[in-house]
Amino acid sequence: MKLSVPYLGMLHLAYARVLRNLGVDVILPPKPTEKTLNLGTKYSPEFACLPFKLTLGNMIEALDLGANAIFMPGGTGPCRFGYYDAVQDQILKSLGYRFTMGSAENPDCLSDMLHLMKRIAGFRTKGALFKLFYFILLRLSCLDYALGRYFSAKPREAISNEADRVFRESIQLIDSSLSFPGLLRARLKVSSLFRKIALKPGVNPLRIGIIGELFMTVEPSANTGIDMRLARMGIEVWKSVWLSDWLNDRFRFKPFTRNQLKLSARYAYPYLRFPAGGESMESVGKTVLFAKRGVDGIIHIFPFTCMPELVAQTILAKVQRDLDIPILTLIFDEHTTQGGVDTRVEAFIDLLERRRRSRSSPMAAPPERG
Amino acid sequence: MDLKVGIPRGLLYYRYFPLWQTFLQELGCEVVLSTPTTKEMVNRGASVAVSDLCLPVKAYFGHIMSLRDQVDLLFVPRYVSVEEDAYMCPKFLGLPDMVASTIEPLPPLIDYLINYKGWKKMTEPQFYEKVGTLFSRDSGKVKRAYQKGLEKQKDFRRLQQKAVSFEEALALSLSSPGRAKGQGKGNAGQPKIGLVGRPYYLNDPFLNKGLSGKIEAKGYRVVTTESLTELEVDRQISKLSKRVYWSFGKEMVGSALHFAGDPEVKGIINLASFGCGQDSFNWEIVSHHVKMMGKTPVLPLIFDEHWSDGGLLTRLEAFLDLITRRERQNRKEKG
Repeated sequence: MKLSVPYLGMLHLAYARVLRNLGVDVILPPKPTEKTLNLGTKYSPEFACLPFKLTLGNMIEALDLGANAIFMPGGTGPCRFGYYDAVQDQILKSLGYRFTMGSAENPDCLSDMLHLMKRIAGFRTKGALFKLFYFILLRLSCLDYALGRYFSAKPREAISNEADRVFRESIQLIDSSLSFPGLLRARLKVSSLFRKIALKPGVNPLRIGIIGELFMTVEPSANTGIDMRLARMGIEVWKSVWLSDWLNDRFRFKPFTRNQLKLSARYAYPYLRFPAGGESMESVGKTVLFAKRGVDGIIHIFPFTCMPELVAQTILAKVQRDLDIPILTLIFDEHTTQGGVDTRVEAFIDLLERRRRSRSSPMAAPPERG
Repeated sequence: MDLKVGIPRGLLYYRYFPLWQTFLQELGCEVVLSTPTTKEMVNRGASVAVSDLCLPVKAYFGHIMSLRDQVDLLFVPRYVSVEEDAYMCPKFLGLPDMVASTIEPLPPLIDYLINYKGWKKMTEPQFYEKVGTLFSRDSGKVKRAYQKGLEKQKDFRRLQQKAVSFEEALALSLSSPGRAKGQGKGNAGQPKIGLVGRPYYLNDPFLNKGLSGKIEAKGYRVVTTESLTELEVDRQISKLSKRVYWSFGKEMVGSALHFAGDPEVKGIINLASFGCGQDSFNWEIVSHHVKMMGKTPVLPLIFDEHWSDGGLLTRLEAFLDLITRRERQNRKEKG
C-alpha cells in the first residue's frame, strides 16, 4: 500500500515520518504549486472551493507518483468539506485512476477513524492505533507550538533571521523524535531555543489576527503564505485556528483539555448562537476575543463560494462596527495572485499603522465616554 | 389586540408556510406576509448583504426590510436540520444571526432552532411548543394548533406531489376544511421537462423569471423536484456511494436521477444560484450519473441578481430545440 494524504499545513511533518517508521509507504508529492492548482481546477466543478481544487490536484500528483491509497477525512456536513471524498473519488475514478479512497465517514466518530488507520497501518490491537493517533496529534501540537513561538519572536528578534533559524531547527527536532519521551524532550528544547533568541527592547509590533477557514489559514500554498510574510514584515500574527486544536475539537475523544471551539462559542454568543458549519464559530468568536485582547486588525481569509464563512463575513460586519476593529476580507480562488494580495495587505497595514499613531498621540485621543 | 407576526416570503416559506401560518393563526396571531418578490426588494437586500451571498438570501433580506415596520414580531426560525441524516444549508444555520447583524432596526425575532442532529437537539414538536409559549399558556391549545398545522402541511405536500403547482397547492390546502383535492395541469400524453431546484427557486416566479410558465407555453409539462415523495428521493440517493447530507441537495440529486430514469422526461433543467457551494457538488454528481444512465439532456441555469429575461429565453429555446431534434432523430431510427 502506498499511502498519500493531501497537504494541509504542517500535517505531513506530523505523520509522514511516524508512518514510514512503521513500514507504511508514504508518498509525499511535491509541495503544491501553481501546476497543482491548475490540475485540480481543470477537473473540478467550477464553483468548488479552492481547498477542493488544491487537494484534488495534490491527489493527481500523488497518484502519478504511484500512490494507490489516499486518505481524505470525510464528514457529514454541513460544510462541503465532508463531501470532498465522494466527489473527488468520482472524479479521479472517471479519469481512470485505480486506488482506494479511505475516508472516515464521520470525523466526530473516533472509532471509524481508528478502524481506517488500523487497516492502513496493519495494527492488530486498537490500543496501538490509539497511541499512534495520539502521538501524531501530539507531534502536530508541538509543531503548532513552535509556529506560535515563531510568530511572537519574529517581530521582536534583534538579529535578523534568528527566529527563522530557530524555527527550522525546531521543526527538525520535532520531526526526528519518534517516541513520547523524545517528543517531550524536543518540546522542552524548542522552548529553550526560542527563549534564547535575543529580543529588541521596547518593540511593540502591530498585531494582526488571521481568521477564517481552516485549510486557507493553515496551508501556505492556498493563502500565498500570508502569515509567514506578515511575520517577516514585523507583524505579530495571531491565528484563530490551529490544526492540532481543530482536530482535537472535532473528535469525540479529546486528548487536550483546551477546547477552542467552546471558547469561541462563548465569545461569539452575542453575534452567532449556533455554529453555521466550518469554522464560522471560530471566525466570529476569535475576532471578538482578539479585539478584547488588543489586536490592531483582523484579516479574514476564505475561499470563494465558502458557505460557512460567508455567514461569518455577514456577521463580522456588525462585530467590526460594534468593537471598532478593522477587518480585511480576502477571498481566494484559483485566480488570486500574490501581487494582488500583497497590495491589499500592505494598504491594510498602512491603515493600521496610521490608526495606531493617531490613537497614541494625545491630540487625536478618542473622547472619554462618560 | 392580536400580535402581528411577520413572515418573509422567501427561503423556507416555500416549503413550510401552511404549517407556520396555521399554527400562528390558531394561537390568535395575525400573520403578515410580505408581498411577492420584486426587483426593488432584491436590490434593497443586495445593497445591505455581503456581495457573495446567494440571490435567495439577498431577496430574503429585502423581504425583511419591507416587512419590519409593519409587524410586532418577525418569524425567522433557525432550521439546522429537519432529519437525522441531513443538514440544511449553512446559511440557514446562521440565518437569524445574519439577519440581526445586517438589518437594523428590527422587531424581535422568533429565532428558535429546529435540529435533529448532535449538539443542541430540538425536534419540530419541541420547536412549536416553544414558539407556542410566546403566545399562549395553554399547552393543549399549542398542541392542537401544531396538529392542525401539520395536517395542512401534509395536505400541501401531498398536493405538490400530485404535481399541483405551488400557488394552487397552497391555496387549496389552506382553504379547504378537510383533505384538499386537486389535480396537476396538463394531460398525460404531453412530454415532460424536469425542473430540479430548491423550493424557493422553483416557486418564486421572480427569482426563476417565470421559467415553468415559459416551458409550458412551448407545449411541455413541467415536473419539479417537489413532486417526488421522500421515498422516491431516498431510493435514488441510496444508489450513491455516499449519501448527500443536505436536505434540499438530497431532493435535487434524487429527483434529477429519478427524472433521468423516466422515459417521459425529455430534459432536465437545474436551477441554482451563482456561487452556490452545495450545488457545485450536487451538480457534479448529477451530471456524472445522468451521463452514465442514458441520454437525457441537462441544462444548468445559474441565477444571480443580474440575470436577464432575454438570456434565459435564448438558452431555454436552444435547449428545447435540441430536445425536439433528438426526438425526431429517435423516431426516424425506430421507424
